[in-house]
Amino acid sequence: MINEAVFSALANPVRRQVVTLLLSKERSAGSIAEAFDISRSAVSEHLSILRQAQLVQETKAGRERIYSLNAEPLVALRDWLAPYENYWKARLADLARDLEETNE
Amino acid sequence: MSLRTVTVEQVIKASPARVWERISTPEGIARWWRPGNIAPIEGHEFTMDMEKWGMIPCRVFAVDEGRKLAYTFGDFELHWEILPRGNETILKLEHRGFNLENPQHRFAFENMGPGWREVVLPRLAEGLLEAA
Repeated sequence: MINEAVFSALANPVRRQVVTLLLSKERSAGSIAEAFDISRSAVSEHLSILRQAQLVQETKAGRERIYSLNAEPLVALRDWLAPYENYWKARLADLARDLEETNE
Repeated sequence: MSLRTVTVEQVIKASPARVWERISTPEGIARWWRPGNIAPIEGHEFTMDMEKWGMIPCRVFAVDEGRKLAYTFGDFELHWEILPRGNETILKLEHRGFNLENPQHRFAFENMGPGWREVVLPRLAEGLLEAA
């Protein structure tokens, strides 16, 4: 099961962008903050929520805090995801194909 | 409580009557969806066999023969509508009942835009699985 904190954490567009940023590589708090037009303390609050949801982990390198993605909740999330709209689009496309192929 | 709807439309090159058969009979739905003893009769109760999601209880509550069919689908409602357009038929489905107070429903409904859902998440999960 997925912790509800994961859903709440990802319900925010900035936090989803942070996750996307960290997809390519781990980053320092400063470099994450530079990517956004919001205050550093706001970014730091977002990072803290992501950390509480265990979506990211923090390590210290000298004076820098380095953030990286944590695989587990994200893999669980992918498994949980029921992308309803796409599901129905695919089903209805199957229906159309079936009817059109059997057209007399 | 704020409930939202996912709407999908499909244009089908077939008559409304043939589309109706496909959405309102057990033989019809089994061809493109899942098995279930559906019948277009108000008050009819049936179950949809949704594999890993289990057997979903359903109850028909609105029927306009050949045009509209609505039934409960677990916690949700499915509203089907058939609209003739020239030689084609438009089949419209509304999947109603996403509860935005429920974090899982809310997430599925509004945060799963195409970029995020189709591109980022699979990539994310693959990359992470490799790294794990």
